[in-house]
Amino acid sequence: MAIVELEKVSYAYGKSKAAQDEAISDISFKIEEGEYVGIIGHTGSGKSTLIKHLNCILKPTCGKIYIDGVDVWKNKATVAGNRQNVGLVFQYPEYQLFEETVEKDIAFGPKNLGLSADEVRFRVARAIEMVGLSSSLLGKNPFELSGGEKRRVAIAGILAMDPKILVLDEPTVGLDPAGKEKILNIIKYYNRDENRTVVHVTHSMEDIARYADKILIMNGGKILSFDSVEETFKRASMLRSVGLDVPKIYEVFLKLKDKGFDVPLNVYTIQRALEVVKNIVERKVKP
Amino acid sequence: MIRDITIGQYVCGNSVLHRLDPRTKILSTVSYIFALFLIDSLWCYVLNFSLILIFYLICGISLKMVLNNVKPILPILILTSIINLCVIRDGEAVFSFWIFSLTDRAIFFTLTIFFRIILLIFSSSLLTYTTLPVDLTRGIEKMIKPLAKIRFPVEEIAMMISIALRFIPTLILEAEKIICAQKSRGFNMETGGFIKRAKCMVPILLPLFVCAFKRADELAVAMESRCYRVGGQRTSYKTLSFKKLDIFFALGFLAVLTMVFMINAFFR
Ligand SMILES: Nc1ncnc2c1ncn2[C@@H]1O[C@H](COP(=O)(O)OP(=O)(O)OP(=O)(O)O)[C@@H](O)[C@H]1O
Ligand SMILES: [Mg+2]
Repeated sequence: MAIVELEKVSYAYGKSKAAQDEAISDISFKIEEGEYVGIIGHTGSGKSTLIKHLNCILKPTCGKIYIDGVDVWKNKATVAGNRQNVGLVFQYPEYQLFEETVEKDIAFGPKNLGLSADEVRFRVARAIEMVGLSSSLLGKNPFELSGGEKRRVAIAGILAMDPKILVLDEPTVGLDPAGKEKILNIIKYYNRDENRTVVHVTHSMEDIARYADKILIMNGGKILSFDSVEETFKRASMLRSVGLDVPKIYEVFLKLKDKGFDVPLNVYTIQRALEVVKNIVERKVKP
Repeated sequence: MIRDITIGQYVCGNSVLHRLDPRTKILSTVSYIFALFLIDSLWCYVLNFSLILIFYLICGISLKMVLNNVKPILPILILTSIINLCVIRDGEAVFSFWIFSLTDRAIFFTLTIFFRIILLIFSSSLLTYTTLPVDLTRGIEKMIKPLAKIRFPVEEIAMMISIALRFIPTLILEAEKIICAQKSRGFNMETGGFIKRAKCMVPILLPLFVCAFKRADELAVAMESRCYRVGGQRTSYKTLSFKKLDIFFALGFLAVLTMVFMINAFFR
């Protein structure tokens, strides 16, 4: 059974019900448990609007949303249950910090779930470890941390709620490469090692190409394509037509292939490229 | 929702009221409000009420908008009305039941207060509906300009007001975003008693303050890098000038108010 299922979901901001005012329209897709889905699309294509539906922040003007098999808008209890199942990390989540210590801030979510004090403490310790921060930070004031640390604390606040589905809206925007790398690793860890479903909105093809299983491309409020990474990149011209790009390294390999070199085409990351090139060099050296 | 409250919001339009000089409108509104508190005949309130309704009709703004502004204070208004009705004892009893008795004075007094507050909201909302915030501050600035002679920081205050007005929508958007974010952390705003609800505001208000301070900081840097200086000589892009329309309106409005006062004096 799919863990996330959207059925012809449309949403229009404001009171308008007209089709041309819809920020997203007629969205249907399914995400299986444990999948890492990247959502990408031009600015204003409705990515943020779409993921706010996964968390019952927005109610679709029409259509149905099933999370873990439950119709989330059925009643109040299903909405509350959905907020437990789905953890949504907003853009610039560091602006939501408000408690006087990092520990209290991370504990805010678990406490709202009504967990016991012991369980909350355990969750906080685990979350701070997951985001790779030292537990000596727990007593600090969150406003004294660096931007990247603040962001990781904010993400820890969501992870501490132990959501089955982790949804992130451009979590790496405005960070330096090292900070970005750390965030990406947290997401990958949560997906692979904890075996949780991840939905990751980003503007960077490179980020998606590294860890995602599938890519959902949004264009003008509609789904342009929803397919595995390989299949998506095969249609590079479609991507370019909506102002998106394939990863640079993939383009290099496409060009190499064009020039008549015998190289594989499923290369989307530098690491993979390195392996492939090493392979080729070794073959050449050993007759 | 917070968005439904439209105090301070401008409604685009091209009616007579929109075209008036902001100073005319400010002075008219102020005198109207003064009149509200000076008159004490019910008929005059009815008259004032119809006057405001006519203005709303002229500029084509729906009453629904202003009623949204009244809604949040309605509980307080009703509560004070009930207290007034019960407490005021002088005058003749019109109706009595057990230990309660309603006197004619009480009914009259309650109605007066009710009308005053409603009309206060109606008139001040009308001012902001038909005047751009920048025009409003420019009008105020011009009007208090003479105070600069006694070292009153007129320009700075005008600048502060226009910045404050400018950032209301931004802060509302920001607040909505923060509410969404805390909701997804299981935050629940709607339950509990008064104290509990007030405590609940911390997760919203604190980030909002942090964000407001950050914005203020950034704005200060941006202004200084464009050479903004306290006490500098500035000219403005748009200058205000009274037109014929303003004179007609002011005279007409004055006439109506005088009439209201006369009615108030003669028909008690
Ligand atoms: N609060 C809002 N009120 C009205 N319209 C909105 C609101 N938020 C977004 N929209 C509109 O909905 C559409 C989709 O916006 P959305 O924020 O989902 O885009 P996005 O894909 O997340 O863009 P970005 O990459 O810039 O974050 C846009 O046309 C936008 O103008
Ligand atoms: Mg967005």
